[in-house]
Amino acid sequence: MSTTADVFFIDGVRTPFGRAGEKGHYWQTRADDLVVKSMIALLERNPEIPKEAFDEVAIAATTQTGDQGLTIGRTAAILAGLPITVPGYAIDRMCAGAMTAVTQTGAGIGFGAYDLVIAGGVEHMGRHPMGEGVDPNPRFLSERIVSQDALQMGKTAERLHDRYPSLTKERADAYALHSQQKATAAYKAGKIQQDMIPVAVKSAEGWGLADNDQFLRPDTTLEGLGELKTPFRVGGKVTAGNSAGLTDGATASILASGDAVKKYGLKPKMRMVQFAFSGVEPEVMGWGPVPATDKALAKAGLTINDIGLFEINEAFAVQVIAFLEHYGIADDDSRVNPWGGAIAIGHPLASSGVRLMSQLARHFEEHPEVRYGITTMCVGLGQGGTVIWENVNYKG
Amino acid sequence: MSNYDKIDFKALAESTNEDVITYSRVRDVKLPSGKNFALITLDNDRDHNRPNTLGPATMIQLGEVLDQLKKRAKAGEIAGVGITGKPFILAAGADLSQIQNLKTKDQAKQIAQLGHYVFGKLDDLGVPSFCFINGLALGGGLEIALNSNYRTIDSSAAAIALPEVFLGIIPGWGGAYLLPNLIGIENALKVIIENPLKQNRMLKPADALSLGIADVMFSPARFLEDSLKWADTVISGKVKVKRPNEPGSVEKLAKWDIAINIARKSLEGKIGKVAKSPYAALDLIAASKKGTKAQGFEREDDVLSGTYRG
Ligand SMILES: CC(C)(COP(=O)(O)OP(=O)(O)OC[C@H]1O[C@@H](n2cnc3c(N)ncnc32)[C@H](O)[C@@H]1OP(=O)(O)O)[C@@H](O)C(=O)NCCC(=O)NCCS
Repeated sequence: MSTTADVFFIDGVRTPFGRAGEKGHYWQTRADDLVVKSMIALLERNPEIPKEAFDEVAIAATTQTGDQGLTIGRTAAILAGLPITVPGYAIDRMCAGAMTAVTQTGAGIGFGAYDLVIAGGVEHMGRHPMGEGVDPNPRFLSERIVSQDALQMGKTAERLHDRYPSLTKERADAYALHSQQKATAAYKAGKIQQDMIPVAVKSAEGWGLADNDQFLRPDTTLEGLGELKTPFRVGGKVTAGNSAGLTDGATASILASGDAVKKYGLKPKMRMVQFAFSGVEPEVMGWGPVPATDKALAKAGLTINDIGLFEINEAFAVQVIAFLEHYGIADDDSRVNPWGGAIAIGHPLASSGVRLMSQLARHFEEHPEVRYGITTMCVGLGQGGTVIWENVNYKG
Repeated sequence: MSNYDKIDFKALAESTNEDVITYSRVRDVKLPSGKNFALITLDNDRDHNRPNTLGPATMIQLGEVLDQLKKRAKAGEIAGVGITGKPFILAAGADLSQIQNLKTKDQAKQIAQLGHYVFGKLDDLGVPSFCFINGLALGGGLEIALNSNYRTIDSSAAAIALPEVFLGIIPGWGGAYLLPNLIGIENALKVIIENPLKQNRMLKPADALSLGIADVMFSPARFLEDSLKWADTVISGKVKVKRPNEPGSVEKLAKWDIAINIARKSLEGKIGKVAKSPYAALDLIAASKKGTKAQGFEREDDVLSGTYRG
């Protein structure tokens, strides 16, 4: 009988994140090409794994039509040059798509069904704007199952500000500024580039090479942030400066069982300890990471005090400071998003989960004194997801 | 020696009235080492059903772009220059619809000179030049690559060829001089004369690689990314490019004339002596073993204007 296998995060890469729309890197680049290029680069970085050894390819996308449709995990596997014997499928949990790709395939490894998988995600929000082609059941509103605000993420962020008056706009802006500053510093130090793969892009000026995240604004100031419009509510608190922008990008990662690590001599970066997803009221979806984290910690027999590093997705600054306040962590705590987050880097919905993981893995390398870390994110329609990871470099 | 700088090609461009121009657009890209690299994209803004062609106005523009890049190279702004095409197409050569309209021998000569003038700049930028053969490369399209210092090729490129002899002309933008000096006499005879006469047979990318026309081949999914990475290693000296069939002095002394004689006999046997262009090409290839590139280019000019006497 097989026993429960260890689940290791081996490696993760991503494309540079582009601004959605005509001014963005990827206006003339297909979504599937973004994830395929990421997968090819990932495979090249890990040549010791024979391509036929992969048991599954799970790729997430929120809007699964056009160049993000056609069972993108399968099509991407074929286009990336994996043997036809390697299967693949598509995943959707909106913003937590790639995270879910990791947890589902990771669970498959834990169960003993898989030894090696590729998990990732893609979202081309320029080609597939949020809400493209959706057709919510009228019962949601007629029966007041969810509030009207629940379907617009920016409005849910405003609602979170309403619910917790201590989460002021000033705090959200200060958090956003800090995210930009941390990301700028990490860029200067060449840290973020380590797991970023340049992508050749066609444009009106000919071929170019996308090699930077377009949302980074090193010149951000508190005053500048204070003057921005509040597009989701007149006199509101949520602005383009304290939210993640509309982004195009893709990620891909490799997970492996303990057996595969031994067999192919892989160097794992971290071990999956536990994960959980949890639902909350859709109109305050940004609260999702709290119950998800509580649930994952409880299952793992850990407490928040055991967590030494946090990679929390910054869909909106308010959602991050809500989480931090709940756990009594300072807004500028150095354990949280040490290289900044989605406010500065961008958030191509279904791909962001793996970016959090690649970065947490890098933080672990730099912090052998830390044993556990989490990646966590909020999800549209009121969900949160949290994965707890153990640092393989941990020296207690 | 011809001084191409002194020739005014504007009249040529005006008289040929090129209806679709292939633009030479430049973007700077950062190589992995951090060096700046100028990437030229040839694009006529039509889809792949209308390949890039290289008429006089197109060529004049490319020349101006290369002049600017030479200045930038001198100023230390760029460490290399690459040239590639729109999706699936590098270029399909001279704009043949125009060539057929040429009225005078002078114009024919000027077309040849313009090609040499412009493509010659690819070897005179002050920094290494690279052609990333991303797709179809025929005639003048392939000669862009031959005039560049280094070449990468996409393993899915549709076809690579110098079909001029099939069309009754000769590779006249450097091909007849550069190719034999790159891949050796026998291979060059095959590409320039034999293949065109075999119902215009073309090369597959893998053939171009093994012949040494391309220095390295990459798969299409990340062709440009891989080409840029490779260019970086060549510029930094990490990769030394070896050409498998580049002829040395021994080949030139011992093999060259024999191969030419065999080819001439076989041509006479197969097609008789009426068709001119295969023999003109043969003469050019024969002559390519000696002398400078400038002399080789001038011989091509003369052949295309009908004044060359072997
Ligand atoms: C908030 C949002 C509507 C803004 O969209 P947008 O107006 O297209 O954003 P822009 O990038 O154009 O920024 C708007 C303005 O703010 C400015 N701005 C943005 N960030 C800034 C900063 N850090 N400092 C100063 N100014 C800034 C921009 O320059 C722009 O100014 P302009 O109008 O003068 O050009 C959009 O980003 C959004 O919907 N984000 C949330 C995405 C989301 O819901 N994700 C899912 C989460 S679950």
